[in-house]
Amino acid sequence: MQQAVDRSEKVKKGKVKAVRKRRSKLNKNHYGYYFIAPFFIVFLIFGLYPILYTLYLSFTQYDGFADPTFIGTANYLRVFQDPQFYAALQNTIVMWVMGVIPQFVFAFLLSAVFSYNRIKGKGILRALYYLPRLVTAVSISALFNQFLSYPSGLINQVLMQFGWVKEPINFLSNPLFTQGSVGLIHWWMFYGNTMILVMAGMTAISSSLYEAARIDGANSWHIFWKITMPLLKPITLYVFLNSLIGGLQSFDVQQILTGGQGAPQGKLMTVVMYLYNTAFQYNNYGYSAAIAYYLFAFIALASSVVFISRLRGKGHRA
Amino acid sequence: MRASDIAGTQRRAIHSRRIGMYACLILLAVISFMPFYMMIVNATRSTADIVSGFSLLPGGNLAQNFKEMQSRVDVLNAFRNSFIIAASTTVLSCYFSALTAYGFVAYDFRFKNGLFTLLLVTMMIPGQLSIIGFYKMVKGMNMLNSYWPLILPSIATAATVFFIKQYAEGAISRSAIESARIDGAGEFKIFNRIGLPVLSPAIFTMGITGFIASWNNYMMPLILLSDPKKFTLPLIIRMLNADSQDRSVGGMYLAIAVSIVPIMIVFFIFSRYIIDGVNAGGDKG
Repeated sequence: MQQAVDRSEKVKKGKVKAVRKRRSKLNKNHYGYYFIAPFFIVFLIFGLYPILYTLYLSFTQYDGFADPTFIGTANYLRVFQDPQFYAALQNTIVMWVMGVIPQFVFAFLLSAVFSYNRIKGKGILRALYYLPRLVTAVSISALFNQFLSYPSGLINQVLMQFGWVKEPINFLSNPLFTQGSVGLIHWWMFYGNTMILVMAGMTAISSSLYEAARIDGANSWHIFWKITMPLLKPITLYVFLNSLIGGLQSFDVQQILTGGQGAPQGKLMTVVMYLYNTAFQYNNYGYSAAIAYYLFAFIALASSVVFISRLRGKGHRA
Repeated sequence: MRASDIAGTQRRAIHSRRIGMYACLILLAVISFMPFYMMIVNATRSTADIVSGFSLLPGGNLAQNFKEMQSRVDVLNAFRNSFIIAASTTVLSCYFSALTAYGFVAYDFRFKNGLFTLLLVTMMIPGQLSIIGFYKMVKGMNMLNSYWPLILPSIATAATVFFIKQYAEGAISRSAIESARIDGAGEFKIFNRIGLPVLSPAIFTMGITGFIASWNNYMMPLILLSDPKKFTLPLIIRMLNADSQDRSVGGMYLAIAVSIVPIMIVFFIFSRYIIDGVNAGGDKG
């Protein structure tokens, strides 16, 4: 009896083996490499190689014509002491902060309004808020350049028409106002995008949590701060990091608004504009490459500070 | 009586709060849309009208503005250039991203997870890190003023691969692939006949997003293209904006409108898909 079972077991195993053998003819798993190969080959050529090439150039003196000559870490040492670089970094951060604060305030307020109330026309409103995000920053900047222009731009016309000002204002000659305008344009471009990301997080929160809180007598204010905000932390972190990384690389709006020179008084010069001008106007590619790596290090550092402080916060709560 | 009074006041309070809320939401929508509206209005008004005062109603000067615009720079040619680049970029990135995503989902191979993680890491590298090296490389290949360096890199679009892969995990059926194999179909044929159609909703979403991203691309064309005949729309807008002498304001508004209105039309037709694509980005967080 026992033997019979053993034998049948053996037969079964044999069958399984035969099936496996037949399968292995049909086993095409190695095709996976062919399918993903184009991506990685193209990435190596157009992604990784230029990055490493930039790294190499950052250690050289290169004017775009003669061959690069190796000069060690001289470019990096120069960035450390370059007042123009630090001024650009400061401008970049100031303009990012000016845009990101209202952007987050509006994103959270709107998400709360849309999540707690049944709003008619939600789809079309959401689409309209999102629209500016899709348009080229270049076109938007050129458009605002027209609106702000002196003396007969649209905004001056409106202000004069209603008698709010007597003389037209030359907005783009005032550093603080110009930085504020960039912040405003960034807010206008991105609050809808941030809102949609935050809203995706909010709709993922189970409504039973809200109901339970309501039964316990919590009002909307409490619900927002005690339930919604803590549960939204991961998505807030993601959106914030994205904004920080994008903000530190901002370039388009400032470049178009000032014709590339960061006027007035250089207050609109951003790091990437400085990098661009160094390379493509002053033909100092080596130094420009060092600025790129310095900025990258700064972005990586800032991101990890944000990220680690977030992880710490989690540890404390737990 | 008193109780109903209180209820009435409360209802009124809630009612007026709702009205206030809608007023704010609509005001914000107006703020978001007004600049585009003014752009379209001013594109149809003569330069003299625009400079002398604002108007909310369109004028009848569109044809004249168009003539002025075209006489300064060939905006239509830039439109065609932008379209050629955006369309080729979209086709390449959609096909190869689907191919890559399918490869990750339909097969099991060594280092699969490691390679996918690597792909995700490539998404986080800031673009400015490669521009100097990219420029020098393209210059070395004698490809400045060619569209190939703008189009070919789209074969490796990590975000698109990520999105399509998320979708493919639920949509690709290995047993369907298996039976196609038994019927003797080759692997790439299976992908083209079974994989692509199944993945088409995700491909479509990313296609729209990719097209808009390429249409709006500024930094790379700015660095690589110096021949005005090859310029894309953002470069033309930049050129017009920087040229402060003898400007036709109406023509300027029209040129900006030419670069923006197609995107607005695409958006209003496909806004659902586009916002889906944004949401998918948020799920990563």
